[in-house]
Formats: sequence, structure tokens, C-alpha cells
Amino acid sequence: MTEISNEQVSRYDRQIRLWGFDGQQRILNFVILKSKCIVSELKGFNPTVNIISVPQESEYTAQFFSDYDLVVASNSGMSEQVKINNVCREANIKFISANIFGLYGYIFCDLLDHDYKVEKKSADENNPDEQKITVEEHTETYVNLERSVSHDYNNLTGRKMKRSASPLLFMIQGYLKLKSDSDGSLDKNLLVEKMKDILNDLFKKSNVIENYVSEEDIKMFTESIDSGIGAGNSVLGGILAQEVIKVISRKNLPISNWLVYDVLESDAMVYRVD
Amino acid sequence: MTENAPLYPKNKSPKTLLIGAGGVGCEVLKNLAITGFDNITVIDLDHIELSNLNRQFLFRNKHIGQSKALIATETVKKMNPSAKIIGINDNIKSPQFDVEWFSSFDIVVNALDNLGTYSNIFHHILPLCILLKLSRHVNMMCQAADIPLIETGTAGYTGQTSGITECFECQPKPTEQKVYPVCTIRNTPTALIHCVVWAKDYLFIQLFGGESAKNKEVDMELDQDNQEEMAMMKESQKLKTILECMDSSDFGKMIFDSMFGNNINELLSMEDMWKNRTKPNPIFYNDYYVPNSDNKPSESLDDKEVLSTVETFRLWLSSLEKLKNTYKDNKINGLTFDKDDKDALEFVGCSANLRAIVFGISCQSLFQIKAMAGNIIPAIATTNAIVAGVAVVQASKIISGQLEKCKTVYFAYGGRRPQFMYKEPLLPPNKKCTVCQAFYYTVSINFKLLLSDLIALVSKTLSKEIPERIGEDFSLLEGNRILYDPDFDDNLGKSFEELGIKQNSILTIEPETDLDTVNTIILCIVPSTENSLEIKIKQGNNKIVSNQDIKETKKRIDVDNATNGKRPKESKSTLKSVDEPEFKKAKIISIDIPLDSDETIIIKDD
Repeated sequence: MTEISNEQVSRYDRQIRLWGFDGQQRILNFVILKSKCIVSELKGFNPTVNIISVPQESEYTAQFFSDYDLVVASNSGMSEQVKINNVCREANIKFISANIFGLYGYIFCDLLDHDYKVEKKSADENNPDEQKITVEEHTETYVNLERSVSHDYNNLTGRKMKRSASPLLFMIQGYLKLKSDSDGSLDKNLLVEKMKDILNDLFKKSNVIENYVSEEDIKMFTESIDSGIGAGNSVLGGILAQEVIKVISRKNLPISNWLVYDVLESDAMVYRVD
Repeated sequence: MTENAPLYPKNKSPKTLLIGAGGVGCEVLKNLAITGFDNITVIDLDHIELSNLNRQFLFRNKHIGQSKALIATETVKKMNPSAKIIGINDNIKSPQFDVEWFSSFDIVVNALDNLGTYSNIFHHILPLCILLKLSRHVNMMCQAADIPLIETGTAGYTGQTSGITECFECQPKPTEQKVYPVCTIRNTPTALIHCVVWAKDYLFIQLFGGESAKNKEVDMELDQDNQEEMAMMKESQKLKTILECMDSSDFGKMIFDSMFGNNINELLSMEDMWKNRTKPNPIFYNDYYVPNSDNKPSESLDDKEVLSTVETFRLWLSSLEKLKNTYKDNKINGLTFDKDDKDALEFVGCSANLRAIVFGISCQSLFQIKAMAGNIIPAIATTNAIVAGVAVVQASKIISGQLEKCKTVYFAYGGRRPQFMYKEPLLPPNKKCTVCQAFYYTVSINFKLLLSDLIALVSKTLSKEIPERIGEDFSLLEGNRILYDPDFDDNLGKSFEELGIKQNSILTIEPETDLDTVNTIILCIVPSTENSLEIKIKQGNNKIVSNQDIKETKKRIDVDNATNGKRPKESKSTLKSVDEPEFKKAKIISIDIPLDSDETIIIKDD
């Protein structure tokens, strides 16, 4: 592990105060594969970070990923993501997928068996101006994307179903599938119909009650796809980066395992689907 | 999910004021620019420091020392060259940024980050705790100018974004700082924070503070019968005597022996104090001073490590020497503690650690003490991005006329939560809020005129204009300073200039009567060269309120309309409508006052 330099202490002062020197050190030594990044721009932002860009491979192998600690995938369809996720599992590498479609975004995490710590602060009974810090250790078990999207919902209804997965989560899963099925040539006019077909198919397989997602919901979702606003990306990107930090610093529980984000409503809901 | 209405600003280029180009400010500015807000003014007083670069992504190493507002503007212009972005390197409280200047904007985003500290950062979803006067000022200006305001704030991992309607002051804010009992700080510390507070707020100020800061200590009312308090007084007096020998080569030794040795012996002599406490152990200069050596601290000290007592002693000595030299050139105003000033931090940190050694408390590294002394708020880029993103989504809603869809959003961090964001609909204003429920008037003043002129104008016009708010008797205040009340007329003959009332001063009128409403009236001062006072009345508080409030507001507007044009019989003042768009419901009351004249006020009637 490389030591933290004094220049780095000054630069990272405000965040070291959040996650400590050990957390910062883990971050500095971490290797993330970014599937798409503007290397020169990011380098200017923080010259002390090494960023390498690699061309997108048509075939991903465990060997290719083995240089990395975490793979963050975005901008690809369901089948491609399932493939990358499975290859990562084979190489024992953590996997995160995230994207935003118009006004709706998601983050999915498969972090294998993830160990993390939670710090609890409490006032010292004898000396209320001193804080006692206790550290709890936990392990969270994650599942891969393939298994998560074929979860059996047992025809749950009402609040129970709402708590298990929102209509938006299904629309996102459906749209990801649509992306890989259609080879990137999505016909705007057919979008609603295609989404309906895919969702009906998904609902049958996963035992989701009929019409859990209304046609109006689907229309709203598809209409927004070209009308996102930059500020929404900022929010989802911020959450994603924060989750990556949780993963690396092994402090606090990262998203387990889906987060869906509605830009206008400022909703960021977490569902565990395994 | 919600219906998707277009989020493109109705008004083609809403004029946006962004206050702050720090962590959240950088993000908000970028988001505004890429979301299509193309007429932005950004104001910030600060300059760029290395520790900003982990999150204030519009800045690079080469920009260190330059203005945040100007560099942020330059960088964002590259992202959106067609946008009109103006950077101002100044304090938002400067006089030129008065209510009329605020009125020229369509929306204000307040991104003065680092407002709050939060002791329990993890596992909290509450909004931040500390809100500085600056935010209060911005809120009041926005109320006065009737401009929607979006507040943002982050504290470590939690953040908040508020929309409008309920104003910033509608909910009481927690107090600013934790207060420690003075005896704990001065006589019986039990935690390092007590020693840090002692070093920073007592020792540093007594040695290097300005005259007025030093005298505060003396003014403290002490209970002569209280042994502990008498000990503190003696200590302060002794320190004063030593201070007179600042030029002596023994100065360091005198301070050290007094603070960490003799004073401790003095405390020990009060046996009652130590019945149930661990006794302190005094230390002296000669315990650590090595004769025939330079006693300089090592060059390669690590801020992250806890130093040995000898190293602490040496660093203390060298920082004292440096501060002494800085202080000599600046005796009247003195020095103020700044966590980013290396000498000040070293001195306070070492003093705290030496005191901790005396009282048997564990020492800490300078890095840790910096956070305790400087109220450092942990900050990372990710929270800023999230908070700024949410703020700009809300801003887009306001600008596209969808205010009812705005939310107050809280961002939650960590734990097994079902959601990352918690939100509340915008609440109606607190009817007892003295800020947003107050009536605002803009007063153009020639600062050569006298206070009595203003008082006369207020009683001749406003008292009649809004009798339900103001009776015959009222007092006039600037902040907590009483300028006038029926029993205090000493200032009446003084000019505004003499009273220190400037452009952008905010005066409040408080009626003496016990009316059953919030009856504060706020006067925002703008300059005028005319020999007259002029009050612009902007009433009806055009704010959008929730359904349950509409009735109330209507009633209020009706009252206003009823007085409109109904000239008070006793007064000769003129009420006339004005067509200025930003003052739709405005009326102007003006009187001409000849300067340098003893004549009674002539109220012009046209």
C-alpha cells in the first residue's frame, strides 16, 4: 500500500474526517474499471489519480477483469450486463450497474459477500463531552443480476408487493431488456407496445400480479427518455460515487441491492430483490 | 411517479442568483448551466485553497489563491459558452447588494455550504444544525424582494434542499455552539475539547486578541464569594502583567510557567475542588528546556501523529514566537484564530495538549485538534453533487411554474433504509414568523437627513396606512440596537450617516401595542441623493401559499386594497401607484425635506 502524502492529507482533509486515514488509503489503492470516461478531463481534476481507459471489448473474460477490484457498468443492455456480472463473479470481482433513462435512474449492486463496518457513536456516561465509538462488523450477501431479475414475487398484492418492488423497478428492468433485444435501434412509436410485451412476459415468469404497471406509467416512462435534465444525472452520479466509496472503504452498508430514482419526485427507493 | 410536465423554463432566461461557489455552489452552477439556465450571477467572497480541491471540481491546482466566483464562472462558461454568467468576488452583505439589486433576479439559490456541523454524522436524516447569520440575511433580502429562494446545505453525508413558501426562519433553528460551563474550561477540564476551548477562546484571545476581545473577559460579572471564580479573575490579572513583558526574552518561559505551572498550583491549593476529582500535575519550562541547544521543533513533524511532550513544548515555543511577531504589527485589532493559519493552529493545538498533559487527559494530533478548534465540516464531492442536483430540479420546477410540485428533500445516508431521500411538501408559512410574515418597505434615504425625519414619516404615514400593524407608539431598531423608542429620543437629531445607517441596512419597527398579529415592519434602506425620504410599499406578500392559507391572505389583501387610495385625513401625504413591474402592488409615499433647515417637514401633495 502506498502511504498518504502530506499534499494528499491537505487535499483530502475534509473527507478523511469522514472515513479516516485507513478508508482514504484503501480508496487511493483501489482500482476501478470505468467503462466510459473522459480521461484527460478527469486527470486535470485530480492529477494524483491514475485513470486508464480501455476500449470496450466484445468478449469480456475473467482474465480481462482480474486487474480490477470493482467493475462499474453503465450504458449497456440487460444481456450484456448479465454477462459482465457473471464473468466478474467468476473472478471474484464486485459489480455495480447504473444508468439513467430520461427522468428515471437505477443502481444495481452485486458485491458478492461484502464485509463492512458500522461505527456507532454514543456519549460517554461518565464524561458527556467525550464520545464513545463502537464498531460493529457485518456481512451482506448479494446475488447476481441474472438471479435478481428472475425473482419469484408469488403474486403478492397491495402493500407487500409495493414494498418488494415498485412499478418503476420493473420498467427499468424491462427497458434494459428492450435495449439488448433491439440492438440499439429503438423505434419511438413502438416503444410503449414493446415495453408492454416485455413486462407482461416478465410478470408471467416472475409471478407478478397482472397490470402491476399501468399503461400510463409506461407512457410516462418512455416519453421522458429523451427529456432528462442534467441535474438528475448529478444526483444519481453522486449516489453512485458515494456507494462506490462505501464499497471501497468497507464502511456502512452499500445499496442492497437495487435503487431506483425518480428525478422529478426526488424519490430514491431501495429494494432488496434476491 | 408523477406526470411529466415540460421542465424548460417558461421565461426564456430566468435571471438566477447563486450565492456561494464552494462545494455545493460549484455543483449548482454546473447543473444550472447544463439544465438551460443561461443568465446566472454567482457571488462568493472566498479564495481557492488546496483542501477545496477534493470536491470543488471547477478548480484546479493552478487556481489556488484566486477568486472562487471568478474561476467558477470562467470554467462553466467553457461548458456552456452561450450562457451569460457573471462572477462577483464580494460579500453578499456588502451595501451595494440591497433589496433593489435582489429584486432584479427571478430566483435565488443559496449555496453557502459549510454552514453546519453535525456531531453525529452517520445515521442521521435531520437537516443541518448550524445556520449562520449570512443565511438569515439572504432569507430576509429574498423576503423583502419577494424572490423565491432555494436553500441548500450539506453536513458530511446528510444534506437538505428546501423550496419556498415556508421561509428559512419559520422553524426555530438550534443554537450555534455547544456551551461549556466556564469553570470546567478554566479550572477543571475533563476532556480534550475543554482544553481546546481554553486554548482557543481564552489563552489565544488574552495573548493576541484585539483590545475589545480582551476586555470582555474583565467585564465578566464574578461572584466575589465564589472561590473558583475568584481564582479565574486572579489568573487573568496575572496574565495581563506578563503581557506587558512581551518583548522580554523570557516571555515564553513566563507564560508557560504561569499557565501550566503556577496557576495549576494555585488551583491545587483549593482543596475542596479536588475532593472528587483527579488532581492536575503542574509542569514547568525548565522540565523541557534543554540548555545550550536551540530548542527548535523537528522539521519533519507529522500532523497526523500525537507528538511527545518535548516536541509539543518546542512547537509551542516556536509558534508563540511567530504569533508574537505577527501580533506586534497589529495590536489594536489583534489576531483572530483561524484554523488554516499554521502558527495559530500549532499554538492552540500545543497549548491544548500541554493542558491535557497537566490534567491527565489523552493528547491528540494537530489534525484532530484542527477539527475540534475549527468547526471543520467533513465534506465530500458526492453529497454536494446530490444536494446540488436536487436543488436545481426544484429550481426548474419553480421557474416552469410548478411550484406546487416542489419539495423539501432530505438525503439520508447509510443503514438499511428503504429510501435514500425523504421529502416533505412545502409547508405553509409559520404565521408567527417575524421574517416572512413581516411587512416590507423599501425606504430611499439621503443619509444626510435626520432620524427624526424618518420617525415623522413613519408616524405620519405608516401608522395610518396600516393601523392594524402599527399604533401611535413604536420603536425603531437596527438588529438589537434601539435607534428610537417613545422613551428614548436621543438619536432624533442625528443624521443617518452619524448613526451608521448605510445602504442595505435593515431597520425594524416594533409597535408598542399588544396586537394579536405578527406586527414587525421591516424597512430596507436604499440610497437616494434627493432631499427627501421615500417609502415604497410592497404589500400583499405575493407569496404562494397553501390552500388553508389562501383565505387568510385574501383577507389581508382586502385590507390593503381598502386603504389603497384612502388618504388619511390628518396627513397630507400622497399615495400614488407606480408601474414598476417588480413592485406591482407598490405605492410611494414621499415627502420633501429641505436640508439644513429647521423648518417643519413639508409633506408634498401633488
